[in-house]
Amino acid sequence: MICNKYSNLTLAIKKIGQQKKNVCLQTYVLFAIIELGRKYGKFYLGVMKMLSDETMEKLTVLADAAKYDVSCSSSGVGRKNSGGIGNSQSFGICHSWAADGRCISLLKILMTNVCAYDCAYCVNRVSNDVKRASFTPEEIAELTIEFYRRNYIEGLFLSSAVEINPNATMERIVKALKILRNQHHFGGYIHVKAIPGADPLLIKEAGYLADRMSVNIELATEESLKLLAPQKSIKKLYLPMQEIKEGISHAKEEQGIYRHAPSFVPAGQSTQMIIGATRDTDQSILFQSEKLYNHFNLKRVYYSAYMPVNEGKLLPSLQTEPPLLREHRLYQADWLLRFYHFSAEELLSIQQPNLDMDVDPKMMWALRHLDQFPIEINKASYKELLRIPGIGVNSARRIMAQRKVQFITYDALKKMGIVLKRARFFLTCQGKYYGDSVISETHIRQQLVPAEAHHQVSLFELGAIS
Amino acid sequence: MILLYDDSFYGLLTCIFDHYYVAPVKEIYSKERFKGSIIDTYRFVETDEEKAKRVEKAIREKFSNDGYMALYRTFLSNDDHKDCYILDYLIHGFKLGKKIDYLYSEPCVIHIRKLSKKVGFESHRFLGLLRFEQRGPYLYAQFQPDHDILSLIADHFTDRLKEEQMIIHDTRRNKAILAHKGKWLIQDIPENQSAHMLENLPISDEEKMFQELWKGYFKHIAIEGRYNPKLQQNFVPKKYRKNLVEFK
Repeated sequence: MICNKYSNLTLAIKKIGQQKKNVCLQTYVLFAIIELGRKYGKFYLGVMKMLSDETMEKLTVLADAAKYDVSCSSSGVGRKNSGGIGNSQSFGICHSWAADGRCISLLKILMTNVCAYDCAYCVNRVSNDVKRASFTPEEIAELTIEFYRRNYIEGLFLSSAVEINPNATMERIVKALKILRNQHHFGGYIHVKAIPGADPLLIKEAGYLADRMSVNIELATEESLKLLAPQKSIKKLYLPMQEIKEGISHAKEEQGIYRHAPSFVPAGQSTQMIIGATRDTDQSILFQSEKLYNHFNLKRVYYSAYMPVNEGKLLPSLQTEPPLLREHRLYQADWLLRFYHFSAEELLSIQQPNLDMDVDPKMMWALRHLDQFPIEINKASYKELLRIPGIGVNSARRIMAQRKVQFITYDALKKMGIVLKRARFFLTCQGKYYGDSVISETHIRQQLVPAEAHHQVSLFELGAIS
Repeated sequence: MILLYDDSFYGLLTCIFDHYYVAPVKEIYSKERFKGSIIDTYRFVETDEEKAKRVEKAIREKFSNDGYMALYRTFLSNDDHKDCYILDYLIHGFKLGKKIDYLYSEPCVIHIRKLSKKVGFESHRFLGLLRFEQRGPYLYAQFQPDHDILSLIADHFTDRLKEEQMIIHDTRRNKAILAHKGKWLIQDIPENQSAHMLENLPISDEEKMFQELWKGYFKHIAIEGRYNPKLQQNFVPKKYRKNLVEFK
């Protein structure tokens, strides 16, 4: 019988490989696939695992509780399968997009949403009357593996409320990671929260198992924290960050000496700040980000527009719209810090503490520094090119590359795929300026900002009205 | 002279070889897509692996491995004139050498870049958007990509799910990757047989349970206050939704 000959796909593949041109054999293999399927199908139908009906309820409750964490990246680690299941791609992979348009790449979930803390802004605070649920480490591991096999996800993002105390919570998280990494030899991406206040040894243990760790600052200043999360303090939040940073640099040193030394949080650490829950200005937020990048070598700071989930005297009212545009502008400014050689000081000051909502932050900066423009495309350095609004890292690199072999004309810029809508006001090509008339702020604004400029009402203005 | 080839990449490279060593060629087409010509004479070229490998080596040396891959991706695209673009690019490229990749505004470079980017983007997208179901002992995935990307995504999934017996089925082109233990091959699956195959590989209750769990998770992970279906559609166009559990 054919199916005996090809007891699994490996043999079939080998056979076809050897006799590539034998079409007859290929159709046999198809039937072999079906026969095999029948034989094993029954066996597979019989296996029910530990997940039960209540899993659905737990899953949805704990997904609801985890969704306000915005981090979704699965990039930064390239790893081959090491004999179990899963690998990791350094460029990161998105697997789906939810109804809010945010990408889903990891199974983002809380271990439990039973919390001892009472942070005013948080949906899981102890004083809230919400459904509570907990997963066991085994359940988390099984869900992850089964979702991963079906290519729903790229890995796991495990966080947790602080149920009893930080140590007990961290221990459970570590246990789930151990099951995944050591029992299933799971090679996919794992992002895990470091619970502030947990024993440094536990954080270290998690760091050797995870790809990314994060501690959420949530609020940019000490005063805001005191107001909304009195059980937390900036200093206590910095502590695990410092531990992770030291762990990373220690592991890197070790790897320099021993090739097979284990890696520690290879995709780096990140954090998150809520935008618009307090009166913090863009300046204090961006300065905090810059500080975090410089002091703790953070890979990313995420910004999350505040969604009013709780009522409270200290909080914006429940009717407040989330400041999505402000969040967007902060992300743009954040990019300027990380990839465009800008400093926070250049963008914001005490006199101008907030970003311009009408134009992007680079445009805002350029309009304040018109004396530095226009820039000649054929002569400017890479850093200068990056300062032109509308020209990004890719465009600047292309310009640099083509300049090595050929002068760049205005027409060529268009063909290279460089967007000139904003850039044309700030550059010259072979000495010629293409921005209609003289450079002036009012002229450029008129051209770029639609007549009915978007105005986002601040939370506190609204508060004053009601 | 117009050359026709058998729709394999090596066939195309054999034509390139003939352009230099037999007689200059005006255009190249795959046998199946060629619609005939009144003005020009045409000839079918038998694929010759040795000749093709010499061209491959020349491309890798004259340009780079990346350059070779860009041409391969272009070859996989569904564009009707891809073969001519590749010929055009190589004629320029063998004259100019590595320099050609800096000429971002040159038409022949633009075509190759555009097509290879399109194909690369789609294959990247499907690394995330492919969905497997447990059918009997197999993990089975079905999709209908615009471009012929099976060979680009095979290594990724074979490594990722090494222990699984896997079938990734391109139902638009009626072929599939069969993979197990790190080995894979691409096999034609005629349409009538594929229906027969699927009928005999039923979906288990367990599989249904995980699909339901995933749907539930998918629904709840979205923040209601940020509801934005337009943005969602930018990322997941409707044509991809057919095979996605969470959109069914």
